[in-house]
Amino acid sequence: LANLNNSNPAIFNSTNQQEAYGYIYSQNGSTTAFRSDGPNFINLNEGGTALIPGPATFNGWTAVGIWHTHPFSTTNPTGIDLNTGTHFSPSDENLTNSTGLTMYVGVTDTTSSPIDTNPQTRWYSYTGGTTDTLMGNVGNGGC
Amino acid sequence: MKLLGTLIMVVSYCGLYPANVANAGQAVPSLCGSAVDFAAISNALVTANSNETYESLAHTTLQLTQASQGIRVSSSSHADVLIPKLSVAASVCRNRATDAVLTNATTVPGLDIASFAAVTTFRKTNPWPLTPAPIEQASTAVQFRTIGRYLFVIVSAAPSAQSTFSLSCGAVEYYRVDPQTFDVRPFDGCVEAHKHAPGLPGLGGLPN
Repeated sequence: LANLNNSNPAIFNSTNQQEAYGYIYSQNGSTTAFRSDGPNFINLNEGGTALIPGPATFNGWTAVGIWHTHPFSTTNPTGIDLNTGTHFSPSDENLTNSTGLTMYVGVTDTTSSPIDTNPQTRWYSYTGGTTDTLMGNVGNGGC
Repeated sequence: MKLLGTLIMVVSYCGLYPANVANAGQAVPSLCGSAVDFAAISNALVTANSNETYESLAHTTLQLTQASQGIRVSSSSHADVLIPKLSVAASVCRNRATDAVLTNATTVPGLDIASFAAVTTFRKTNPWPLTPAPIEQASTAVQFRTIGRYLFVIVSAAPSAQSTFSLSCGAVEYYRVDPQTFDVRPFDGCVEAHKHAPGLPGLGGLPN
């Protein structure tokens, strides 16, 4: 996400219905050795649906997570989905709940109400349940 | 130079904000349940789809009690009615941020039922322009949220109806209900990147 934010910051303020995504893999179940792929880019149609391929196969590596981006929305600047109450859409949460993959999303958002004037590009994680976790600002480490 | 860049970015973002911030504020979650259960309560109590009916219901709190033949719904303003046992599809609310699930509730705000009735009436003549939620199915969830003075009604298909590896808005319908006039406004609340359907504004694009 940090590399993406440096190379293609517009993806976080996309108006062309595009999202970036990739998978995160662990080496032989390691909790310290990870690799990721992407960024891949996909356009959602007017109905808001896009199928993405499942994780790739790397010998010795197992998919443990998936990351993607949401665009900044002037009409919903907190980026919180009213349906889930988190920064993740129902399909995002469904993917995690179906596969066990931890979901990460990078989004430019505001966090205060009423709307503040200093949106930040942040990343959040979802592992199940009804809440998500703010991981930090994109580029400030850990991603 | 970095400070100048930051200032330009902030000014640029500020320029993006809609003038209308009436919808600003954090959503306060409340009830969630199966669409068929809300329909059963609504159908039993709302005998005429009019603002007068909605208003009288909106000012009551409904009591739900178990009865041998179903669930008894009682209130201070309406005669008791009996509805079928609530759906066991409690999983429809499993991953929804909510403060109460209908199947566990002993009271239901009359405003929720009145708003649900207003929405179901609205959607009969104003079909959801994207993939609609199958409101007649027990697995479809209905949620209520409060933001500011408005009540929001969200109707969403069961997660299993969505493909696993998809970034999708799914079959979710979003409505804002004015609790005084029962004016219903559909909007696109999906956070995934996509083009809004014609005539379907985002949350902040709704008029005051």
